[in-house]
Amino acid sequence: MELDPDISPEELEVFLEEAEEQLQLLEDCAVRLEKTPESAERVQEIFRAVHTIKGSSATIGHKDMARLAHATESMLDLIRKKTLTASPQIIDVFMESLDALRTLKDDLAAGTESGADLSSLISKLEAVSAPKEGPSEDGNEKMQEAFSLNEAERTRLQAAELKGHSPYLVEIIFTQDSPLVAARSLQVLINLAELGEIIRSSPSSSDIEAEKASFYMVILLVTEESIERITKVVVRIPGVASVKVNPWLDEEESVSTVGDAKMDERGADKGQGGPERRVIDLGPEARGRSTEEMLDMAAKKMATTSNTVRIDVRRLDNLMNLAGELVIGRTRLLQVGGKLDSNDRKAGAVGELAETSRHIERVVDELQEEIMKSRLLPVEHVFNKLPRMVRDLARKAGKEIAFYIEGQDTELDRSVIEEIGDPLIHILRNAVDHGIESPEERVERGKPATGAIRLSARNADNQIVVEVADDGKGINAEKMKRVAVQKGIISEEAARTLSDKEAVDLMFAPGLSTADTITDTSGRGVGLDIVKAHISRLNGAIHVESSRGVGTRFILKLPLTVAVIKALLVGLGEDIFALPLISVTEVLRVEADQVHWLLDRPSILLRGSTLPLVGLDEALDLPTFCPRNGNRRLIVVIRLGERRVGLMVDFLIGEQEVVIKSLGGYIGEINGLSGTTILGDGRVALIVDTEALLRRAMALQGEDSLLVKA
Amino acid sequence: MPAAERDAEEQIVVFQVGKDVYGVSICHVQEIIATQSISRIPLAPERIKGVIDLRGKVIPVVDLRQCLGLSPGDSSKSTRIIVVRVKENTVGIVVDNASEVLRIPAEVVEPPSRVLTRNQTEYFGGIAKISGRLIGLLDLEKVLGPSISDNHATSASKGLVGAPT
Repeated sequence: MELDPDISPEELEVFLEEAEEQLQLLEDCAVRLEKTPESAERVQEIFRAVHTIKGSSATIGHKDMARLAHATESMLDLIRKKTLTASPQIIDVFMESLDALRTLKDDLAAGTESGADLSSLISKLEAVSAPKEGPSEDGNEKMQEAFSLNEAERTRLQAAELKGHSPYLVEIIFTQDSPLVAARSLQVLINLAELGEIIRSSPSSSDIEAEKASFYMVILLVTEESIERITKVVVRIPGVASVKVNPWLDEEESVSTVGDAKMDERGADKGQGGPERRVIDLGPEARGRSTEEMLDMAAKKMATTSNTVRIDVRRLDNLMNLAGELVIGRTRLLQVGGKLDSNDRKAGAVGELAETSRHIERVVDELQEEIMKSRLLPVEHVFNKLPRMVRDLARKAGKEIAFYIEGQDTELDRSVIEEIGDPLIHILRNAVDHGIESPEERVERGKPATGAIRLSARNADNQIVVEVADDGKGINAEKMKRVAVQKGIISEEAARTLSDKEAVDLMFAPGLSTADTITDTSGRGVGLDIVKAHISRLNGAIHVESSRGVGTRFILKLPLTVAVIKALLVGLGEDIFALPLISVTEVLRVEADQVHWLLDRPSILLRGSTLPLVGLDEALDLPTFCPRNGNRRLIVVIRLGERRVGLMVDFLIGEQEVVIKSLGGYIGEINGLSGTTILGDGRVALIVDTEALLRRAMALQGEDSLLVKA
Repeated sequence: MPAAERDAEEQIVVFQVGKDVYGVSICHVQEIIATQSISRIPLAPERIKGVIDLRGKVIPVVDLRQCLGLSPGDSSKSTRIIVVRVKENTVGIVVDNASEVLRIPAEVVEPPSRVLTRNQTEYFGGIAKISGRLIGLLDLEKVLGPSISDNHATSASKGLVGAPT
């Protein structure tokens, strides 16, 4: 399959993106159409989406895709006009063509050819549709695939139409042995140009000059001449074997020209640099309506159409980077301002500097927030493919499940959105396979036969909380412990001292599966260790709450932004470390006599329970420094799930928002550190990976680490 | 560098580390800055002294002697950091002074094996004898270590964390 050779990689990229959007929309609508096949709105949406795919694939020259889309569109058109009802068989055929379109698009993206049998599918589509229309119109429709006008061309077409001209599609075939096809083609263009305006031709005049003429030529001409006249003019050119002229049916007639004309008449805004004109495409429904109706539709459409702009994600990433730099810069500015202020109050310039830096601080803060927001997408993007998946899984597992979604508008940074899809799928699979009981079991237990799974997303002070709750059988803590001991993940004694809550956390250990049968949907083990690793990579956290017989709830906490986190800056010797505030619960100062020693390990009593202590340098495996504070110890309590550890540090600097910078490819990954950040004074602080730290700390304690490394 | 020029002569930046004199091709050198406080990275490979902040970017800084497998020398005189760019990596090298840029004609460059022992030769592209001095021309890719070419494989710290360096 060959594309138009003029297509640039960027155009291809845009096509693939748009096609993906349309295909997703179609898949979504398809499911809904199954439920409400009479919904005219649904059909309209689908029709439009297929129409768009037809147009853009024709533009890039993907003939197969365009043909398939065209056939599908014809069928949908009949459904739309109520000439055909969307029976289950029809919907099946539609689904088939959807799958085929997707295959074609995926092939294009991957550069492969899966050789789908399109001709039989297209025949099926055609057979299902009404009997074929007259040959000339059929041919006309085929030709219309090739011409999907861009904005400029459409404008010219409309301008000509306003003058009373009509568009025609002129098809020309040159004799096979015609030697100077290029010259003939140019002659055609020149002659036709005298009759009116050529909106577009294939091959175009630049193509012809580049020796890319062909024996077949199609031209979109707007003229006030008649079909006979046009035909006569072309036939006169030597080398022309046949010519067909048909009226051109532009399916996307825009109404704006009419609207604009009205505005001009009113003349109110003329000459005053009036409001920007927008071209509003009302689509095929606009045909046949009165001007008043059309204006109404236009107004409604304007209200609902959002002003959006496509932007390459890399640009957003760059902006994010720059915003981060600004944050660092403004912190420095503040510091400098602070230094001057205290030394020299007299100079008026110092006061100005302080004011200016405060102003810049406010602007930078706002800018950073805006850029961060521009990267936000509603979770809907991830959530919308889940209902279908849950339904399929439930059917396979023989369970009845009602799936509820809340908070689809909650917004997340787009990179986080990309990453939570998989974890959510894992968790949902778990809930369907192992959480919700079979209908019989449920009834036995006095529960309704239909199980419920609820997926919700909400904002909670600088975090997004996503929950997956089910009313299934809950997690069997005892069983967890048993299996964990069996698999050697924890020892017998450790298992005995585990609370139920901690036992439930064992779910996240790799290699653990309490399923009696390993179903094909869940695969081996539970995969939750991967989920957890995924989530912590995003600087988020995951907890699980469960009650035997009642249900289970997975709670995912995700940061609003990936590049900046709130951290607690602490110092150890000459080095500065940043501890993500999300993991810090409190900071204490203790005296030497409050520290208890057992088996060479220090700990303190904190509100009745033991808090093990570990030096930050110890946990990070650094050469230990002598603590500056003599007998006093500064403890930062960090918490991960149920575990807490007190990190001993030398001094506190304070809370600060830090911009996360990676360690860079050269240094690579360092266990215990998750990145670096540049402080206001130019020093580099190391951002600590609290989970790794915790694991290290517990290993030092000699405990079986429950948070086993994936 | 275009082939024609390669045969003729190379421009190198000459610097000293302790008593040794080295040179690196100027096409790798991004800039030379005064030394600044280097923040240590615990648990990083030995040869990495730490990182510095270079106009908002976090740049790793290496100890050249460690890279060459020598014992760390007396670092008290180190006054400059040469920032080099090798295969998408920006790395700083701590040196004692770096003041010259010399044009080295090909004739004065000898293969390293003539002057050095077997296991040291891999770090050098050649030895230049000029104005009575021996300048070791470093092959930065070898000196800076395997992670230079392997940059894309090692995921920098935690996955999608924030701003690229």
